[in-house]
Amino acid sequence: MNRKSAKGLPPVEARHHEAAQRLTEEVWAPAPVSASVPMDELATLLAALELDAVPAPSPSATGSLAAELGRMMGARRRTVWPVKLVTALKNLGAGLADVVTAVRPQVGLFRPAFWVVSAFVLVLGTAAAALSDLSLPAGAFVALAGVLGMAYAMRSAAGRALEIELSCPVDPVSLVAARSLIVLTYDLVLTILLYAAGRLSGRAAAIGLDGATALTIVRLVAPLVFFSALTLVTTVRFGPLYGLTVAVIAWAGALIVGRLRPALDVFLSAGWPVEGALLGLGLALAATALLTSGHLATLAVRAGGDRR
Amino acid sequence: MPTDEELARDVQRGHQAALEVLVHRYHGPILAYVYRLIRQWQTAEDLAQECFVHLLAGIGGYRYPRPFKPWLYTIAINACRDYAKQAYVRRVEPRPAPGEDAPSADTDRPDNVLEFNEARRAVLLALDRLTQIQREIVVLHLYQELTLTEAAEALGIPVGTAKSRLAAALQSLRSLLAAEGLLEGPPRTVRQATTAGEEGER
Repeated sequence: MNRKSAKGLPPVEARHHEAAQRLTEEVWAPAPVSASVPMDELATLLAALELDAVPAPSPSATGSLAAELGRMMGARRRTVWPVKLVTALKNLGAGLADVVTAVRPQVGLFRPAFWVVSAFVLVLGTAAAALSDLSLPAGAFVALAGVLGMAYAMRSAAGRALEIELSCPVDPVSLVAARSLIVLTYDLVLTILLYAAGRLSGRAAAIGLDGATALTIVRLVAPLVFFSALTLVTTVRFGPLYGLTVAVIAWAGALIVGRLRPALDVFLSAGWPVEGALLGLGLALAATALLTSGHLATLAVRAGGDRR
Repeated sequence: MPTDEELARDVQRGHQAALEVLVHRYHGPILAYVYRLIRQWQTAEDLAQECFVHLLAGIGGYRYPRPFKPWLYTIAINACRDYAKQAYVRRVEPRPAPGEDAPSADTDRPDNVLEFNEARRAVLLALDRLTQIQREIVVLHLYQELTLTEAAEALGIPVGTAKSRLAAALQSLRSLLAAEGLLEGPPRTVRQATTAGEEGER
């Protein structure tokens, strides 16, 4: 079976035929024989492929690589904790710088209406509830501010609005993360101010801000994160109109359910398990929104096509 | 002799000697894989070294006793894919490895040398005409001798997909070499051969 091939190919040897047999069995075994490359040709092909021979690296090159990697490994092992801490802080600093780079141009694109309306919904809503006999918890207004803010921030997803184009070359994930961060940070600041004002005014109980500090803050933050993330994920997946509609209906539904069954009140719940679950669910929804935010580009293109 | 997996576990524990053995065992294969994918000797040497730096940096992510070879080749595959994505790659001419184009010992006569060079050129051209994903599976399975299961794991695809990619690649190679008159199969045009490969891929 050992023959010298014509046309400069290496001789086809018994090992090539064995390899061809093996290859045929593993690649084409269940398929009809007609689908495969004929055995003799496959053996010649395998012999021909040997023409692509690559020289081995020189022993000195391998030795130097091993020595260099050994040095790197030693250096890594010797690194003491202060150095590790400094490196971690540097990495954190670089990460924060990236976040600031993504957020800064977006802040300028938020119109004054966003800042004013968010503050109005939160402050006036809670103040009205505190001063009247509405007995609505502050968490409900925090959540509503989150929903409206997120709907505003993502409204251009289906509109190919100027903001999206101005944000280029930011990718969809950075864009969604940056704009959501602005909304959540602003609402969180307002929430903390609201909490402080509630405590100072002496009407904390009327709006559900009494109790342990940590639990009260989580009681405000959990609905904010959950309803904002619900708006975000629906907007990113289906468009801003659906996002706003679904979130407002869910918000109203939660209020009604809370009135009918106080044990299920997500705005004024009994303790950590409910708040924790709501917060966890909100974070999961936010993560889903970020992971699927590549869909934004599709939405924008589709909306652009519809508009034309 | 310790297995690759045992050596990788020892590297995780900080044993430099184990790292040295792994480098001596895999420097050649990884360099050959990278070179066959990118056809730039000096860049291949740099990328192969980078692969080992990545190995050291990411060894914490290796889970003993999972097969080490596919894990290592995944690093090389990603390095080649990242390199291929770079815009300037399109403007770089292939550079052969030193001594790569020298004829073998039995091609001492000038006409044999000519035939050898011609055949070699045709084989390299045929390999280069495969799609990137076909070339990856051909090089992993036929040159680097990874089993189909290992190659599929390294590429992050099901074994069935690896099989179909390899089958399509072999059909393409057969057609391309037949078109060059190196195989006895039905000669087809390069266009037909490429189309056959793409259909197989789909």
